[in-house]
Amino acid sequence: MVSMAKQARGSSRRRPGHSRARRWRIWVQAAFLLAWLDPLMLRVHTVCSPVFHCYSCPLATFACPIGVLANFSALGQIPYLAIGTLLVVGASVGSLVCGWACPFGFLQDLFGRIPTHKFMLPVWLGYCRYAVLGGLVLWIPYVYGEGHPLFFCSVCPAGAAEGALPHVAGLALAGQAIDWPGATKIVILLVFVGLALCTWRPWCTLFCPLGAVYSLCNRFSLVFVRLAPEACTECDLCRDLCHLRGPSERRAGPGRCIRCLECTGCGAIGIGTALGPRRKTPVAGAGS
Amino acid sequence: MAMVVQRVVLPVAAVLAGVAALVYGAVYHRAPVAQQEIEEQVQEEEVSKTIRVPVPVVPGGGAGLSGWAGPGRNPGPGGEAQPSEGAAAADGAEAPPPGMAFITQTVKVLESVRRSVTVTKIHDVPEPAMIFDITVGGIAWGPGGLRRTYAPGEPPPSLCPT
Repeated sequence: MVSMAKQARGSSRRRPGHSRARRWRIWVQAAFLLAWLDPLMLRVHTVCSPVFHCYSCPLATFACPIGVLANFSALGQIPYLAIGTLLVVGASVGSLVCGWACPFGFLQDLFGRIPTHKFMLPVWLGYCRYAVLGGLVLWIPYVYGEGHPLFFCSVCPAGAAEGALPHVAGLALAGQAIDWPGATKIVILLVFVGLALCTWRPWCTLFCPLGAVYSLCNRFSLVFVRLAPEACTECDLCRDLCHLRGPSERRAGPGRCIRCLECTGCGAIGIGTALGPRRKTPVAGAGS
Repeated sequence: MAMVVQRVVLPVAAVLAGVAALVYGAVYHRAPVAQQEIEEQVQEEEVSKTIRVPVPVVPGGGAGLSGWAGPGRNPGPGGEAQPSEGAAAADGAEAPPPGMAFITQTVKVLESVRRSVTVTKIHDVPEPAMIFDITVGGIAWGPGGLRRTYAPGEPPPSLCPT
């Protein structure tokens, strides 16, 4: 009996760090970063991208959906294009975008790769993302307009890293007078860069409003992470592979999962689609 | 059944709703945006002009015009008008007809004038153009509704609105 269990365990798990996803993810993230950075200088700012990428970046190809939501809220308009983009992408792949395409997530991943001791943030802190989405992105702009100091774009660390600082650098290189950005978002950026050394994806797990939208979509998206129960030996390898695991969780859960697919290093976990062959039990990011 | 609804019907419905929102936003959704534009307009204005009016010279009245009270009025007492050589020479222009003299007078006449005026026009701006404008701080909420913060042809306010 014991030997059978060991055999099953051996067949269902791979060695940690040997998932294809882990090998490819950083390159896919880099390729997406290149796409967001407008290599063809198209500057298609009439279209929303599905990622958190400041449209004020001198190299931004598309508009940021969160920036569009906040600004349209300040203007009293409904942003159908941004909502449509988020619905199509969110309902299709959920937070797979966060794990594989988001440039600000990629930046945090790069800092996270620096070998330092990482601590886990409490799971309940993830609800702050919904507060940021409802408060800073929708309510404050709608009631107080874009001049309010807590207007989301005024405090956005991605805006500081991808918009404000490159803009300042561009002005300096062009020999023009430097228009210094607000200090608030620079400080917030520095705080989160520091936090990224100590914990995985601090912005994504704590405050990212786009992550809040996608984590809601995780519960019903067409693509999901699935668990094959017959192959699971409860070895907890998935928990060990998951960067966002809680102390008592086997996996991040749909609310926190960024679908980095690191957990697919365990053979019992893979990617499933709602329209594909008969589905197994969905796990992280699939409503479990 | 509940699982099927959650895993198939709900995401497909959400994707379709997203596509519908994208189509509506890209094709149909427009918002009125006020924009100040400089326009050349032809306006009729009253302009002061100095004109020379030939009047009959009054015989025996010196210059013959002392009694003249202005256009549209009868000349004063003094009899028939006489040509005034002095008046014609002083004008330095062509001589008046015989028995007449020129007087100069300032009158107001209507004239067409071209002027550059700033007018506020309301445009129905499609949503993609609005998205582009907000990325450069080009649309703001002003009194009476939305207004564009820069004129057509001008560079946008800033690449980094915040």
